[in-house]
Amino acid sequence: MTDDDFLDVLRAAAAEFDPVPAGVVRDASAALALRTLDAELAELLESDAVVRGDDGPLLLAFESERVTVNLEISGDVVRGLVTGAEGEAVVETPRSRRSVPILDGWFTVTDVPSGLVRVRLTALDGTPVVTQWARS
Amino acid sequence: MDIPAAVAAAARGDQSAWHALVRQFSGLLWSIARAYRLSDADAADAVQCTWIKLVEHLDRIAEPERLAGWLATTARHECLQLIRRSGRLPEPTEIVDDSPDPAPALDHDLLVGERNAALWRVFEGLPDRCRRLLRVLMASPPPAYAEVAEALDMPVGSVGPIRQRCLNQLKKLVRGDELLEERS
Repeated sequence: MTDDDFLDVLRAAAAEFDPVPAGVVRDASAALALRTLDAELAELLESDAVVRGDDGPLLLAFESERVTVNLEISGDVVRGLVTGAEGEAVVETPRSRRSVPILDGWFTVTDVPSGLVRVRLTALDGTPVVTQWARS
Repeated sequence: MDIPAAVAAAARGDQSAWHALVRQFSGLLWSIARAYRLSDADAADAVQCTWIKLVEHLDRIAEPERLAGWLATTARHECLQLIRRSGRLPEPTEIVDDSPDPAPALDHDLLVGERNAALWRVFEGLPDRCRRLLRVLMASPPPAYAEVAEALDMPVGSVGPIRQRCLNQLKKLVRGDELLEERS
């Protein structure tokens, strides 16, 4: 038996004993709906991305042309400080969405499920802005 | 499948093009997550995050013809992030210190039917470095070596030689497995 044949046997075994779960494919198919159109992207500033002590909060900084966002994530609490935006902040995960008012530049959302999170904002001139996804 | 065309269509919101990409690469992404020994929940999380990152980057993929490599790299980052968060350290993918024996003949009867279960059990017991490489190579449809290299952050030139050594090691273990011997 050649190595290629043996690998084909292994591939068949993987398909039998460790197949891609149907739910994983379903979630992947649904992910296109998370596409954002016409929103300015606030990019994660890599140098500030992974500032986390052993048990300290995760600190993330995002920046777009119009807006800056600093997130402080402790467990299921996301606290944000924004400049260049006003009104409401919408904290999104792949499965949830919460709107909270921005007060003096700050907003706080609780009960945010762990995983990916991003924030939608409205810049002072009305331009919609969305941060990149970051892992909480 | 015309990957660049599917990427362009998906970027315009074409759900069927997106489905085609999901069908094409879900096997690769799942295999990568399993190669890093992620649990069901973490593997699902890593794969979903990889797809969401692709959605975010759909109109900014520099080389859409190399999408599989981009996905493999992104999946590796997602897996390593989850592993770091759980405090578990992955073992590096290394050259197997194993004399390159000629491949022993493997009884074909050994590999049919319920014997796949025994083969799978032996495979799961392989040293991490071999198990990891072979698990990615088992993806369906079969990935190119370049994608495997991206998934495991190893030189593309070493995929073939390590693959050979790891398959030889597995063949030896399969032959040495009493359960399999009885049936062969």
